[in-house]
Amino acid sequence: MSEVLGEEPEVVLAERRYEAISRILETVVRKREAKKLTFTDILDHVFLHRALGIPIFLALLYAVFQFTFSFSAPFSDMIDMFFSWLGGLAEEGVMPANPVLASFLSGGVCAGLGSVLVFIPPIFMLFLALAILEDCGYLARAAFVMDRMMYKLGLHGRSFIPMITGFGCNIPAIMATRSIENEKDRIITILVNPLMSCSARLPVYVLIAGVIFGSSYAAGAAVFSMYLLGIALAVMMALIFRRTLLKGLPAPFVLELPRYMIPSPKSVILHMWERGKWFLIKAGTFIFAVVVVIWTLSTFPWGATSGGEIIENSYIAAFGHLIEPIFRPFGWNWQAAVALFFGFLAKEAVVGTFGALLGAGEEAVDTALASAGWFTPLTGFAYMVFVLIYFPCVATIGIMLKELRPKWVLFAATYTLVLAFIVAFIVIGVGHMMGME
Amino acid sequence: MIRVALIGNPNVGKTELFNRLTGLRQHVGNWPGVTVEKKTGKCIYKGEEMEIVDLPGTYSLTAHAIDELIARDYIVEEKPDVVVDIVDGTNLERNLYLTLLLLELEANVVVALNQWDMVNERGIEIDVNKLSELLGVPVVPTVATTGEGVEALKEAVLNAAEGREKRRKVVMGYGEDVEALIKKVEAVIVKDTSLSSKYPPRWLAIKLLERDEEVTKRVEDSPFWDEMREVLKR
Amino acid sequence: MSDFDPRIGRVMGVYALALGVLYLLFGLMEIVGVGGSGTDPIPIPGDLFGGLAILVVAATYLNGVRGLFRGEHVGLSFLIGALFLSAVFGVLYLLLMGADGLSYLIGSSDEFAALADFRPEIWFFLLSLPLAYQVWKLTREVTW
Repeated sequence: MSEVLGEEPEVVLAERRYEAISRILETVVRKREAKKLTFTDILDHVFLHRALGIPIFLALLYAVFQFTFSFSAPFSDMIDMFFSWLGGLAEEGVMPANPVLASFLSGGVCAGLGSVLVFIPPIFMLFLALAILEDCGYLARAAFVMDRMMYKLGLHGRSFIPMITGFGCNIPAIMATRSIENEKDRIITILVNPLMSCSARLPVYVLIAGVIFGSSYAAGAAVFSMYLLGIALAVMMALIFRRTLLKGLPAPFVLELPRYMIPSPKSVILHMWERGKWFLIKAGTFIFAVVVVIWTLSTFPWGATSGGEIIENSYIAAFGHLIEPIFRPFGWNWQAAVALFFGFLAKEAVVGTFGALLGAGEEAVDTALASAGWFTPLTGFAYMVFVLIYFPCVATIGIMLKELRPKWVLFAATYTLVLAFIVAFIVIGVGHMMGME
Repeated sequence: MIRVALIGNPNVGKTELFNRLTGLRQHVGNWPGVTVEKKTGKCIYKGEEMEIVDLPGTYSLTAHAIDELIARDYIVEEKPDVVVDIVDGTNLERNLYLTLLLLELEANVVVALNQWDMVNERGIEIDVNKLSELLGVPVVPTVATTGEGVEALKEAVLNAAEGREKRRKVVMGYGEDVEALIKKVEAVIVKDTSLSSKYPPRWLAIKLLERDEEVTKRVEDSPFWDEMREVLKR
Repeated sequence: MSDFDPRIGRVMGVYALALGVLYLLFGLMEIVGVGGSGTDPIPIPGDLFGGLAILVVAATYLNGVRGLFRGEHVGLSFLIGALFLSAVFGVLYLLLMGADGLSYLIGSSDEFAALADFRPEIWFFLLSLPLAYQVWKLTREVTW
């Protein structure tokens, strides 16, 4: 049959269909005037520019994270004040009647859950900024310029839409890989997707960056650098996988770009809310449960009340001291180690753990963490790097199991953990060389 | 109840149109067995209830990508009463490809010629009646972002569901050489009445010629499979 | 062949050149971290990434200059892109100034150094507005 047609039948039939379409269009469509220049043409010339396209994307990304970090600060402070006040109230009001309940309310609910909820403003602002960029049509261009670069590196184009979706959450991002036809391309895209820093990791960065850099521009830059590092590592790992495990040429890609438009406030708000509400739901259910577990482990045996030195003989301290040696080379204490352990479940739990362990009470979790002096700028930055890389959260593993064979999922979990240790070591090593502590 | 499926290329305003049609009466779930989102909604027009399913946005209907397969399977197996094909009026060349595939599937197609405002703004003139005549299906200009033309679209869907729309069966020719091959394969397929009553024989023939793995698998059990293979080999 | 009046183009080109050079200079100064004290008439923070970001703005302005002088649409493309970036960073730092003020109001920070927060990007954004108006006049007919 191929002999009859001279080519692959699928290709021949597709060509014939397009011929039929042009015959239809000849009789149906008439252009009144020469193709008019549109804003989309004008803007694409600069936003898709070969040299400037990627720098512009990075500059805008920097603006997004500076906005997320710095603009949300006072709003987070307000929520923080509210929970501190509530915690103090619980301690005073309930303490005489029922000390266990009082500790639960102030140390568990207010300090633990409150420490996660203070990140409502940055998370919603991240989603707001991304929604604006998406609705005005820019995000598709960002994906395009990155894809163009990746394609030159021998990676599949069209991977970057799922990657950028990963800034919000890795789960829809991995689902979005369904549109990639080539199975090898799809596996690679899924494997590296957890390296794209999702919104659940944002609270950790904001907390630690705030603690080690204060409110200077360096803190916003540190948060931004995590996202940059995530992209760089994702591209690097994808290249390694392409050269070793999943050899082959990427399938060519066609990407249709929507036209630019001025986003409508209603749809931007709706977009922001649709994505942000998952954070609220997660905080109210899953994270809350984790915080209760942490509070229980840190308060019992009773008398090991959280806050101060007494916590040292609690169950959680025993556990923390058990795993702490693994992280000692990085200069992290047992509390930081425990936080990482609970972060396996969901990255927000890292912050929740700090909240519950510091039992903040009157103090905000960031000031409490700063005055506890657990992190130097170097160990804190290495900690952010580790949290970025070390494990896709449990929910992401779940979706990966649906999309990939179990051996690939196991591989993803392992390589991210190994990579986290390697990169954190490099950070510490480079820091020492530069004379930091 | 009228069962309506929405289909179209990505970025043609399918989601907006779906929202326009269904308002808040939406339900989001998953397609069975896969994690691709399935949105359904309801719309009541002139006392008739329509159940609207939002199919994944695709350029084509091959078996290569899961999205495309979902869309195709839904149309082939569930046989919705009406398939609304949303077409970007400013990019007919690419968008009509999917339309032709839908016509091949002998779906009850209504074309929504979307982004009609942009068509006018860019100085493109489209002869809607002529397009409707050539495709043999109703064509309704719409602007999903403002809701313009949505009522007319509902009317067209209702008429199409009740078989009141003028509709011609249009067969798009593939040229003599290909047509000869299609005819030969089709001739064998119609012998298997259980197969040809379930799927359009011409569509099966075309897919077999394209060596569509998924369609081939379905046809393999046919008592006439060996004969088909003989024809396909030549 | 020119797409719009080259006389207007030349004026816009000179303006864009001046803005591009300003962004370039201040971007470099932010990167090397000179200034930074709140007493300067225009405070320049030491901000590595912020500096790099406005170098991108500078590059976008400067790329458009030649096209503008010739009255070509290409020049307008770069100019619109650059004006957009100017607006993004101008508004960003205005918002951050507002956030700092709010922090002071609710008592979570002890001082509000409004002057130190008034970064050069805000000045440049204001300086770019007349140019934005001119571009708007030129492209009123253009559709999305």
